[in-house]
Amino acid sequence: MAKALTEIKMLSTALDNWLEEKKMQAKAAYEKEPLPDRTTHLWKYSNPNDFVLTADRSLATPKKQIHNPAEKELIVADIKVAFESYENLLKKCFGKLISKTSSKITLLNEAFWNSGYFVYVPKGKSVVNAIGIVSKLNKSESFYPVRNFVYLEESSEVKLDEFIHSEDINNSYSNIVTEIYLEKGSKLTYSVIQDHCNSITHHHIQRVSLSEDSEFSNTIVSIGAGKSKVDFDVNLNGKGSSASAYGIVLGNNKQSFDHHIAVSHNAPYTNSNVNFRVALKDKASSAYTGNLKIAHEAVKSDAHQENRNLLLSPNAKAESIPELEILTNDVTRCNHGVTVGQVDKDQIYYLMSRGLDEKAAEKIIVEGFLEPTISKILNEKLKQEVLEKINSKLEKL
Amino acid sequence: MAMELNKEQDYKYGFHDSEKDYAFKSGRGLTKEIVLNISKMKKEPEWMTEFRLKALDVFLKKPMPKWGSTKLLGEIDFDNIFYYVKSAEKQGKTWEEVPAEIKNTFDRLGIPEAERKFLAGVSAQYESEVIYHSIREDLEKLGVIFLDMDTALREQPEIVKKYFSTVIPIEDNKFAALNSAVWSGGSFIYVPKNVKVEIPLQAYFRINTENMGQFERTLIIADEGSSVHYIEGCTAPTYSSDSLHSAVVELIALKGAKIRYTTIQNWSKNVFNLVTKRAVAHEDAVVEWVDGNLGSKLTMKYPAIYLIGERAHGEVLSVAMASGSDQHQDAGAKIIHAAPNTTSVVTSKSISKNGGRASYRGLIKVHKGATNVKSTVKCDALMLDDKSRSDTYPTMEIDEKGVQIEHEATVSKIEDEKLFYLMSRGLSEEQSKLMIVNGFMEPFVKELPMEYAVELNRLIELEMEGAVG
Amino acid sequence: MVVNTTIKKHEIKPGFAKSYVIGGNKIVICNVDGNYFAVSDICSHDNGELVSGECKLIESCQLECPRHGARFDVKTGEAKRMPAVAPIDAFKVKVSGDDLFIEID
Repeated sequence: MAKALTEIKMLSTALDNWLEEKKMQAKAAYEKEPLPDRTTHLWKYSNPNDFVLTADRSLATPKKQIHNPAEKELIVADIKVAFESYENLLKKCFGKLISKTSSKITLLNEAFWNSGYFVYVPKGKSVVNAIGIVSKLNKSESFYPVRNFVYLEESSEVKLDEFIHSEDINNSYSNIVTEIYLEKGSKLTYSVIQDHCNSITHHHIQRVSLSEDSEFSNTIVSIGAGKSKVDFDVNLNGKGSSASAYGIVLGNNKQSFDHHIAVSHNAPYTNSNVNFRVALKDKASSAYTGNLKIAHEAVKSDAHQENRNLLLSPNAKAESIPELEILTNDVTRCNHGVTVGQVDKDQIYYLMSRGLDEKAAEKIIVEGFLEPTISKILNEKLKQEVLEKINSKLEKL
Repeated sequence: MAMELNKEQDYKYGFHDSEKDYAFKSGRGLTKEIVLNISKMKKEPEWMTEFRLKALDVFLKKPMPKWGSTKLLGEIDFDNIFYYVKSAEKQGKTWEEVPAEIKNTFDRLGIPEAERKFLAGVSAQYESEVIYHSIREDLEKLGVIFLDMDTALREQPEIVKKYFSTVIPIEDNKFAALNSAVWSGGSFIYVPKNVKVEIPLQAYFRINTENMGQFERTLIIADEGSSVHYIEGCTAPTYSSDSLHSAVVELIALKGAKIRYTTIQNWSKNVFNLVTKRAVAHEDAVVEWVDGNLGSKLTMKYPAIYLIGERAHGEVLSVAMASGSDQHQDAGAKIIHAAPNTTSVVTSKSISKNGGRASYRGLIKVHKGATNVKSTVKCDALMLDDKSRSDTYPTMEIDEKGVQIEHEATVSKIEDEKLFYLMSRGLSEEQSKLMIVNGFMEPFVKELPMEYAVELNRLIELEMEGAVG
Repeated sequence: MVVNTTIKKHEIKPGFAKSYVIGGNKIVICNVDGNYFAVSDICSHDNGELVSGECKLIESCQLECPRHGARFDVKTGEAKRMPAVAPIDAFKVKVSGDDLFIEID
C-alpha cells in the first residue's frame, strides 16, 4: 500500500535517480534539437527564440496555493512527491502525451521541470466543489519550468480552476506542460486564468486524451504577460467523447498572444466546440491557429470552431488561421467561422448619447462582445471570477 | 478550345506517333543551353534572354515548397521533362483513327463538330478560323491588342517590357522561376482606355501557336476605364503527356478597369498543374477570378488579387472537383488589401469523391492603413463518401482595426433528408444526387458563358455516373 | 528619440546593407554612396527578416527580400516591387564623426 502523500517528504533514491536520468536524457536532446520550423503555422506567429533557455535566468519554483475542499475524495499533490505513491501510473503515462508532439520547447520542460501539481480522482468519485490552484511567480530573471499531471479514473468528475499570476517582477519565463487523461465516462471542467505582469513570457502546453464517453471542458482566459503562447491539443480517442474550449483574450500595450487549439476526432460520435473571442487595444496582437481534424473512423462527429476578433485600435493586429482536415463525409456537423472587426461606431455614439464617456462606452461594448463565450462557462463561481478579472483589465485599457 | 498533342509519347488510349514529326524538341532536363536555345529560336530581345537565364538560376537554387501536397510534389522528376517542344504544322489524322472512347466522350459532352476534330488533333485548320478572323478585325478597330505572348514580345516590345513580370517576379516561387526560364505561348492582351470588350476573349482564338502549353505565360493589361473577359481552358478532358504544367498569369487592372478571368481546367490525371496567378487592381478597379479545377493529378493554384488602389474590389469564385484517390485539388484564393475602402468576396466550392482530396488554401491580408475594408470568405465542401478528404486552410492576417472580415467554412455530405425528399418525388437515387450536386455547383456554373455551362453540367453528370475515367 | 547605435560608419561599405537590433527593433542600415539610411528589417509581404546579416543593395538603393523577390527603397521604405505592396518603416540616420545615430519613435 502506498504511503500517504502527506507522509512523503522526499522521493526514494531509486525514483529520484529514475527521474534524474530522464531529465538528463531530455537535456541532451534539448541541446541537439534545432528550433521549431517557422514555416509551420504553430510557429509562424511566435518566435521560438523567445521560449528557450537563456543564460540570464536562474531556475525557480512558483509559489503555490492549493485549495482542495475534498481532501478525502481526491488527491492533489506536488507532482514530484506523487511519483512515490503513483509510480506505476506515472511511469506508464508521464510524458507520453507530450512526446507525441515533441519539440525543443517541450524538451526544455522535460529537462528542467521541478514542480507542478498532480491531481488524481478515483473511480466513481464525483467531487462537487471546485479545486483551486494558484501559482505565483515572485522572482525576476527566473525560469519556471512546471509540470502538471491530471488523471481521472472511470466515471469520476471534478472541477479544476487554475489561476496563474506574478508579482511585479522582471524578465521571467514560465514554461508549463499539463498532461490530462480522462478515463471512460469521466468529466473534467478545467480553467486557466493567466494574468501575469507585462514582463513575463508565458508558454503553456496542454495535452488531453479522452476515452469513451468522457467530457472535457476547457476555459482559457489570457489577459497578462508580455509574450504568451498556449498550445492546446485534445484527442477525442474514445467513442462518444466530447471536448469544448472557450477562450477569452484581452490585450493592450504591446502584448502578444498566440493560441494554438488542435482538436482531433479519432473515434465516432465525438463532439467538439471551440469558441475563442479576442479583444485587442493599442499595439497588442493575437494569433489564433486552430486545427480541427476528423479522422476517417470518426463518423457522426459534430465539430464547430469559432474565432471572433475585435480590434479597438489602429495598431492592434489579429491573425486567424482555423484549419479543417476532414477524412470522412459522414459528419453530423462540421464548420467554422471567423470574424475580425472593430467596434461599431454607431454603438459607441448611442451609448455616449446616454451619458457615458467614450471609455465607458467602449468597455460596455467589449463586455458585450465577450459575453457569448463567457456565458458558456457553466461554473458560476468561475464565471464570476472571469468577469472580475476582465473587468479590472478593461479598466486599464 | 484547343489541345496540344505531344505526339512522341503514348496516349492514354494507346495512340502511338512517330517522333520525327516534330520540328524541335529539347533534350530532357533543364540546362542553360536549352534556355539559350529557346530564346534564340524565338528571336527574343536580349533583355528577355537575360531574364530567362536569371530565372533558371533562381529555379535551380530554390527549394521545393514544404507545404501543400509535398508527397505528390516529390514525384516530379525535373530531369526527365522536355521543357520545350515546338509543334510542327499539325499533321492531320483522319477522324476514323480517333478512338471510340474519345468520340463517345465528345458525344456525351455535346462538343460541337468543329471542335471535336480540333481537339482530337484531326484538323489543323479548324473551321472556326473564319470566326476568329472576324473577331480579330473587330478588336483591331477598338485598338485592342490580342496576341500570343511570343508574337507580342516581338510586335509590342515597349508595352510588354513595361509590364512583364511586374506582378510576379522571378523570385516569387520555384515554379514561377521555372516558367520565367522556359515560358512559351500564352496570351497577351492590352485593352485601351475606356474600351469595353463585349465578347469574352478565348484562348483558342489564338491559332498558329501552341495552346494548352506546359509553360504558358499570360499578361493582360486593362487600361483605365476599360473592361475585358478572358476565358481559357476546356471542360472536355484534355489529354497531355506533359506531366508538368506551370503557367504564370499576370493581370493589371488600371484605374476604373475591370478584368474577369475564367479558367476551367480538366487535365488528364498524369498532370501536375502548378500555377501562379496574380492580379493587381488599382483605384476603383475590379478583378474577378472564376476558377474551375476538375482534372490533373495535383493542382496547386491560388488566384491572388492585390487591391492597391482605393475602392478596388476583388472576387474569386473557385470550384474544385477531386474525384479519385489519385487526385488532389489544392486551390484557393489570396486577397491582399493594401488600400482603404477595398472589398473582396471569396467563394470556394469543392466536391470530393472516390478517395479524392480537395483542399482550400486561402489568405486574407489587410495591411495597416487599409481602413474600412470588408471581406467575406465562404467555403463549402461537399464530400460524397467516406473515402474522400476535405481540408480548409484559411489564414487571416489583419493589421488594421477599421475592418469587417468574415470567414465561414462548412464540410458536409449530401443530406439524407434532401435525398429522400427528391426520391419521394420519383427521382432515382442517382438522379437525386446529381440534382443536389448541380444545385451545389450552380453559383459557379451560372458565371460561365452558356456553352461552357452546358458542357460543365454534362461533365458533372458523367462524373457522377462514374462513366468518365 | 535619437539613439546612439554604437555602430561605426565604416562597418557598412558603400552599396551594402547590414542588419542590427537597435532598441529592441530589427533594423537594417544601408550605405548608398556614402549616405546612410535605415529601414526596418521586416518584409511587409511575409513579416520575415529582409537582410538578417549583410547583403548588397540592388539598383544602388533598394533591398531585395530573399524569399519572394519583394523590393524596398532604403531611403523611404517604399515598396518598389511585388509581392510587397506596403511600405516598411524608415528611420532617419545622423552621422556624427564616425558614429551613427538613429531616430526611433
